[in-house]
Amino acid sequence: MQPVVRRRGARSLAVPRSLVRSPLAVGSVIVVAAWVALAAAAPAIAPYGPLAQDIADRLAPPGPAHWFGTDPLGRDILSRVLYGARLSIPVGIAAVALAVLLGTVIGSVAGAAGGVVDEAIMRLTDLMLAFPTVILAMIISAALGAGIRNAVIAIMVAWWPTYARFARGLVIGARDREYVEAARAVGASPMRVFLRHVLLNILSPIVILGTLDVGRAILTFASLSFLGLGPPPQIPEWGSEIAAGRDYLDQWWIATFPGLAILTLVVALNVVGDGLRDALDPRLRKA
Amino acid sequence: MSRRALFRQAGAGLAAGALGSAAVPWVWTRADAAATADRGTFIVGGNAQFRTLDPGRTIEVTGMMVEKATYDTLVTFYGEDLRTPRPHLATAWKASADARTFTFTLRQGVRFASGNPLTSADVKWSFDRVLNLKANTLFLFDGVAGVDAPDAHTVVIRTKAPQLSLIPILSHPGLGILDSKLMMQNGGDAGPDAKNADHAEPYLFQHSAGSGPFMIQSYTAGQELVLVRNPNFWGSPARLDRVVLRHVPDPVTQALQVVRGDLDMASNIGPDQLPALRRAPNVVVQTSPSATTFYVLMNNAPDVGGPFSNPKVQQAVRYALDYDGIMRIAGPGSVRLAGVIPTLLPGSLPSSAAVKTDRDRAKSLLKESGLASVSGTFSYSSDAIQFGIPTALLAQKIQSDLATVGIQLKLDGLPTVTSLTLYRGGKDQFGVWGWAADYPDATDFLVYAPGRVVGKRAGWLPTASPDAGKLAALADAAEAEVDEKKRVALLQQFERTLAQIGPYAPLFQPAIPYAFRSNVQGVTYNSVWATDLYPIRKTS
Repeated sequence: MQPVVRRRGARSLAVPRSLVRSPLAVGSVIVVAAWVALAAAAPAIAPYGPLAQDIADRLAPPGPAHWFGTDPLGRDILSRVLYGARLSIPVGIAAVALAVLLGTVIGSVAGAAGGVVDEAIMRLTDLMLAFPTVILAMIISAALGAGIRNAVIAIMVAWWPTYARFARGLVIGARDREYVEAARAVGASPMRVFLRHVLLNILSPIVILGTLDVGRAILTFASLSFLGLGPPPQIPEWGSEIAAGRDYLDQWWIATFPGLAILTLVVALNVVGDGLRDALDPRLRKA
Repeated sequence: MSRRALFRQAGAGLAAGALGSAAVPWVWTRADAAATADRGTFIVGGNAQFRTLDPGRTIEVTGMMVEKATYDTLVTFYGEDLRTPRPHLATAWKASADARTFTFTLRQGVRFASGNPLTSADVKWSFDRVLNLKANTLFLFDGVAGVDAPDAHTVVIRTKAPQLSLIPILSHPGLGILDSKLMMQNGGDAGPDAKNADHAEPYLFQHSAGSGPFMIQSYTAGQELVLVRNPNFWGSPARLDRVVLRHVPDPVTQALQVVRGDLDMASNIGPDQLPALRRAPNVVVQTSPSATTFYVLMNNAPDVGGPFSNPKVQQAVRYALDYDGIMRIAGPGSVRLAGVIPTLLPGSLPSSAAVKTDRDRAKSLLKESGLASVSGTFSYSSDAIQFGIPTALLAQKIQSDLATVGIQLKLDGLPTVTSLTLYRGGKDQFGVWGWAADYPDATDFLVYAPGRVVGKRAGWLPTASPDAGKLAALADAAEAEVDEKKRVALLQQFERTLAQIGPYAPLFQPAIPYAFRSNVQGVTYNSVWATDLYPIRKTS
């Protein structure tokens, strides 16, 4: 069967059909949507407060009163996992959005300016990319001090070079296109040419790349929290809950459920992202 | 002074935490390996990587366990007890009326493992060496002015000030008696220049030079240390032929090996391992109290403590804490403390005298303080696990308890190194800490008095208030008291006043867990030297 090849505008972000056709991708979209819904509804559906301690019922295994069991302070793990989503999802999106913003600005400047500026910026990104991103994020987070805001800043600082390189490549690719030449020929100002004709045309691949990375950002945030560089311990956060569970291997439920939360959300986000990329990248599409 | 001992256990606990993360699956096998088959050999898993095995240089608990087995001290304690000093190398002792001269009568007919007779000259030589080495055991003899040996079986110790605590201090394995002849043949020196002239430490890694029930046969760093029975021991010979201390630093592996029968005893496990060990056949799990105080510190210096320097707020914190809940976190075997002296020691108050949770009273005390709101920063060691209790857990519990009466604390988890620096520098606004006994005597816990080590860390000086000044004087009086009964009464008075006006909330005395095969008898745990190997025996 010959798939229908549709013409598509460069800016189109509509959910493509090939994505809808893959059951894995559909399932993942549902999982992601479910997590977003659970996060939004957490205060209404969580059976207990995320901070409510019931020390008499500490380390209770999963049961009717506590579906996911309780932690060493007698807090309900189900409630903490649900509230954890309210932190992880916005933090993942915010970290990526900031990194995309910073990277795009820097990369576009490099691509548009060229010459010495380009060289300088690119060598800086090379320098940053030489560090493993998680280690870099750890260093930054440790230097700034533990906390949610600092973890977001750390992820942003560690990740912007990837987007900067990407944006620079796209800018260089776009700046000599005919439509850009045409705009220049009719006398548009360099700024207008850059913003309207170059930047707008390269935005969608960057946004898609960013979407792909939200899962990874959530995982990196959880890793930072696991290492004690996230929010203070009483705040429900998946990574720090897994870290707390390390000391209680016999009480498997403490680390397992937050771990499953990370697993399901991050895998689903990655599958959705992959599907999105496959669908939108003409080179990967079957002829 | 106690900074040496403070985190002695923390290292082991940290290791437990870090290594516990490796999910080693429990494998139940019926392989009862060689260890259990041989009745004469006792294999202990734990930390067999020793910083030193020279008594004069040892303050680590792992090294002290070896020294307890290979050297004898003048006095000792039996089992877990730290209240009743017992005769050991000294059969009797007498303090002068001013408690500044102590005369010890030595046991007759004692020979070292080498065959050399043990006389007062060896005792004097060993104690002079401690004084002159100026190593980390020196603090034990801070109060000692000199040691004399008037005849072969009499030793006299003179102290700078009245010091009844000398007797329990002498049980410390760091003050074990060395074979002076053997030592001098192998580089030992006790002269005034011993700090530079003594070169016996390497020798003492491979040989013991004591009179204890065992002697060192071999030591391979990071692998194992082998002790064999001392045939010349003055008491009834040890029941075990050999003791192997095997280096198994990971608590999970230790637990697994004791279940399999590869080890007779796991000496360094955490509460993680206990539930599985309790289910295992042929394994006995025990806990013993440790002479350590866990307490909440509130800085009394207004510039550091802020609202927590207010005595009413301090009092409110004491009533707001949920002690029953905290004891559940502390785990089985731990004891609620009414004061800062562990219940193992004379002078401590019974648990029944401890403050009971009373949140209404806490709220009214907060009102009386006149402060509109009480909030602050609670710094703690986010990576520390002491006696199997993650400090982060205690911190969250305390934070939530205080929130119920309207005290807001911001948790500031720091690496242990950083938080210790704050604490020792007196910069902690609010914290939760432990103090482990350096030596088995209550006077080691007078550090909580105004102006002393912990007092300073809490920003509490004798000049803080007239009552603080009186309490500091009371601490001095208790330390110098020459009558044991009066001394205990003074210590208890100190405890009661401190509980009223001190910038602390005493929490509990923790317990140490250990596990051994069910065919092993006589295992105990002492806060100072861990397990005494001498009374241990194995049945088939």
